[in-house]
Amino acid sequence: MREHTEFTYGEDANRQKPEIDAPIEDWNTYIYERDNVAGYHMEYWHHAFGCRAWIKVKRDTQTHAILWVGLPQENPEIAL
Amino acid sequence: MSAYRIGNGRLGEAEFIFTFDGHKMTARAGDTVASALLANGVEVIGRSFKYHRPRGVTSSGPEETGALVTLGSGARLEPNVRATMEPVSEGLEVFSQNCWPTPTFDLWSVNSLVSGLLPGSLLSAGFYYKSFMWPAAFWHRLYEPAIRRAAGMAKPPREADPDLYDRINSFCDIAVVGGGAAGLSAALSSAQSGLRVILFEENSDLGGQLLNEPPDAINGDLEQWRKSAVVSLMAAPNVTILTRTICWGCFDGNTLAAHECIDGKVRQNYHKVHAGKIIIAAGAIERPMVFANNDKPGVMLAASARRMLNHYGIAAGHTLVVFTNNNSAYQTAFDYRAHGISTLVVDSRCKPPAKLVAACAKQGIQLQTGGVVIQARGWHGVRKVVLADLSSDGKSMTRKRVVACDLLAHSGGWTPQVQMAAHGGMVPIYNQKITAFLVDKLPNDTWSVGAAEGENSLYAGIQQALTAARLACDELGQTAGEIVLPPRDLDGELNIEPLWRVPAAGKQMVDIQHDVTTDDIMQAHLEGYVSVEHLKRYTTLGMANDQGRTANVNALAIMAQCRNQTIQDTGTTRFRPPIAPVTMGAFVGRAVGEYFQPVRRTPMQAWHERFGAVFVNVGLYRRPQYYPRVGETLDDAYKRETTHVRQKVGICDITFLGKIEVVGPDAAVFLDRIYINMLSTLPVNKARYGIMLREDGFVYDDGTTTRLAEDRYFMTTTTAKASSVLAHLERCLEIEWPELKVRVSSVSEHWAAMSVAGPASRNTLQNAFEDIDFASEALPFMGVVHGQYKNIILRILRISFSGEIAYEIYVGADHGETIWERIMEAGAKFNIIPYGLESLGALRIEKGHVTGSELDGRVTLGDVNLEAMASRKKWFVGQNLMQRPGLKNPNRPRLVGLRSVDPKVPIATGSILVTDANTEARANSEGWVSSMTYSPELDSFIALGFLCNGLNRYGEVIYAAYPVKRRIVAVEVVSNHFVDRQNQRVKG
Repeated sequence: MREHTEFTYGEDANRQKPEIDAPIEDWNTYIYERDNVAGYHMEYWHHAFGCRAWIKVKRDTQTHAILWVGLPQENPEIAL
Repeated sequence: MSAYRIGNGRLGEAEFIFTFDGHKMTARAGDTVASALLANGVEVIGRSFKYHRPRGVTSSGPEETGALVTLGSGARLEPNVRATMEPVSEGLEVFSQNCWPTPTFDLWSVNSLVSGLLPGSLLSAGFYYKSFMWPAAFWHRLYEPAIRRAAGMAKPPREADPDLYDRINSFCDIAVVGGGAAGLSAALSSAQSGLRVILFEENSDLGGQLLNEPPDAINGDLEQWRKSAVVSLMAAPNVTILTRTICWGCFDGNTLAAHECIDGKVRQNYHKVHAGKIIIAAGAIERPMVFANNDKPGVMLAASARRMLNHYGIAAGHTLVVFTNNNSAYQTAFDYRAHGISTLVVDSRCKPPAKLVAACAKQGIQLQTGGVVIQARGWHGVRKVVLADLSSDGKSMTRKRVVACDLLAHSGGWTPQVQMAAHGGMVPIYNQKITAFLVDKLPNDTWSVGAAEGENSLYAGIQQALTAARLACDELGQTAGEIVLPPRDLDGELNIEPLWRVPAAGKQMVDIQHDVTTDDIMQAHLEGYVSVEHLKRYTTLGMANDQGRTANVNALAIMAQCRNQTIQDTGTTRFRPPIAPVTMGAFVGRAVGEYFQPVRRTPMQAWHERFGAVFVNVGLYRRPQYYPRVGETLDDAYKRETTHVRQKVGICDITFLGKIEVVGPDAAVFLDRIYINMLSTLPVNKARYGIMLREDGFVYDDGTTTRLAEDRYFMTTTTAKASSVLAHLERCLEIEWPELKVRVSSVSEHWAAMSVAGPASRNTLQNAFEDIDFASEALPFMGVVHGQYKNIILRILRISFSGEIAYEIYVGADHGETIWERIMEAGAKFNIIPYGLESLGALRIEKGHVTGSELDGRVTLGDVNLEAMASRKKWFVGQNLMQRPGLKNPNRPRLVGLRSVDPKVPIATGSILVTDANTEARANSEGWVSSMTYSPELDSFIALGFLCNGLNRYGEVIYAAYPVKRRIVAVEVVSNHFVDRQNQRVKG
């Protein structure tokens, strides 16, 4: 259990980075278009005032309940 | 109303003196400011927010809408204090507010008269929005100052707050919010489990509505129970009782925010409460009836009038009229009558319960059923009320008549305090039986009990509390205990028949503190406002410091009537913390003045202080701005320092730069992706200037990177971006390219850094560090060398920010001052001086280098004329989107130099660049000025700026306009490289 003040929100973890040579429209979508989800949302957080790891968090944006936490390359084993 | 002391209540015998507007008055221990003022016969305490209507005490608790006062004077002056919540102490200075010259003779009350002549227009809802629109220029010069003087509450203090405040992390297993009968019972029962309990009560005394009950020997059986409950809790070692402490917010993870008033050495505490379980027993607030002049002094909530009588020993008047639509107000009538006070009950219900009717008859109380009070009359306070019979459909009235009285106690029902329960985002649901909103789905680990849950009966409320305590303790693996019940029940049956407003004209206040009337609500409805959130903002209903505790339900019901819909469909506004006023001091705690934020010191800080540096705050650092000699101003000093560096040699502390080590076999690959230029081709022991972009293609940061070994780089960042660049690198490594074998770590604190610049810099350093070869062959421009001085390892980079020959010396932080002093000593014969941030800036502007003023997050590589730096042989972060057509537009403002046509005239940073001096600057902007300085070398004021198509406009004379100060300066567009355009000096 860590204080939430140790963590900083990073970004939406659902975004798929385009290939390097992908059309500029794809990059535009990647950078500027976000879903504003009411409910569970996969996102990256930074343990900025701690071990400085980046982690992946599934969080309910309405209640702030955290359903799952893992490393950036991990995914929940079952659909949550 | 002419109130007077009639008995002791629960107060002590001791009397002492306080003052009200300078008049001496007596109070008793236990009095609030409100009760003490009433005891001294003070009727008008202040004037209202908008109409300057006379206002007196309307309640005995946190819902106070009328008796707002200013306490103290000078630096300890505190405005807008609810007189009902503030204990009186000896010598306390109390002042009326929002009136001139006195509360009883207030010249601003003309607002009320004007408003009365033109109902529905002047000062009604939206008046300010509609009336003071044009011309725009009049707003801040004429309208706003005038409105501000007439409207508003009190004057704030002018001096810094001298008192101490603390922030406290409090921990408990069970937090009980509210110290009434239900809260006391929940705490008593929970405490027996041995768990840690904190009980919060916003009043000074525990007991809640039990304090309305008489404490005397004959009727005082409930008082005995209250007292013994308090004694038991105080004796329990695992219970903390916090009185005068309002829980003002409920947050994620069972975190509560509470504000405690102590008035000791520490004045107030802000508690961040980490609770295992939360039992909300916050009680209910009595609602006013809505009739004309229901805000007049002498009109008081019924239970509050009863609390004044039984708790404070104050009869709030000589002749009482009670106006109610429910059972609870009858208790007020009974108790006042028992003190021999003439009492009339006006009940809007046609058939009140028979036992109440019988009790009135028995006690000699006149009862008018099916009746209403249309209006209160009197100049300053109530002297008469106008009564009428209400038709059975509730829409018309007959048989109007006038009755004399000086106290009108009213009750429109009870509103459970659901704010805390609703902070989690739960939507309150309208409950027909109690005619108020309740939260039907509470957050986890939270219970709501007693009157806060709409249960007004004593025993039933206590049973809810005990159930909650049992469940809470069970879930924590402990067992709650039994408690002794009060000797008798108090019937909480209201039998309420809502009468949301008396169907008559006149100033019927809904939100008394903010002067919002039924007419305002109806007008908002007529103007098309359908959302309660909009109604609230348009009329300001519920936005005063009582947060509309008494007003909201009445307002929603009136709006629902207007819209011909149900109250549930009308809905409530969202409840947000804080639910009560919290002082800024409590939020800030001890973080004031020099403790506002930590100070970062460089290893040479003490030297700078000894040498008389003037400091400037940059982030958490205090950077030497300049080192004045006797009699020098900032301007004198930085011009001298700048000239000196160009002609001789200077030393500057640059420890502030961010420093990051990038280590690992893939370090070169990694940096090639991060920077726009190639770092993989950088030879060992060479430095290179690099720029990084954000993914969106804009410039992110710049700095110098040195290759220490094949797999090891030393990166510097700007001071401002040090931490965010590190987070960016970590993000890229962990999320984007986990396959790269690279580690990054901040070494900002590990290295002291100093720049030695000027024509004599090489001789200075050669003299300081004899074992290191500073000759150009050994250490060329952009070269790096490691060496030692008395076993202290030095890293020396030959790089320049000033355009002169210059070196950056990095040394372990512990040795920073030793090396600095060594250089000063060795440089003495070359006349070395320290130079500060101001001349560092002047030197770099003369040279045309960019810093944070230019790289403000909105500029592209092209904008700063550095697009040629971007490598075409590799991909890097930001490469894709920097190609966007919009960012490639040749008309984008580009970095240029600007030189005052009259060299003596400064160019203000932030100026707008325009071609024609006579045009309106904002509408014709072609760019802006980002940095400016005086250039000793050019003997002129110069600036850097961004100008549309700027590179093709060298030689053109344009104008730097500063409309705020109405200044305009003619400037010539030139290259941003003012000094040594061929860049020869650095290579010398």
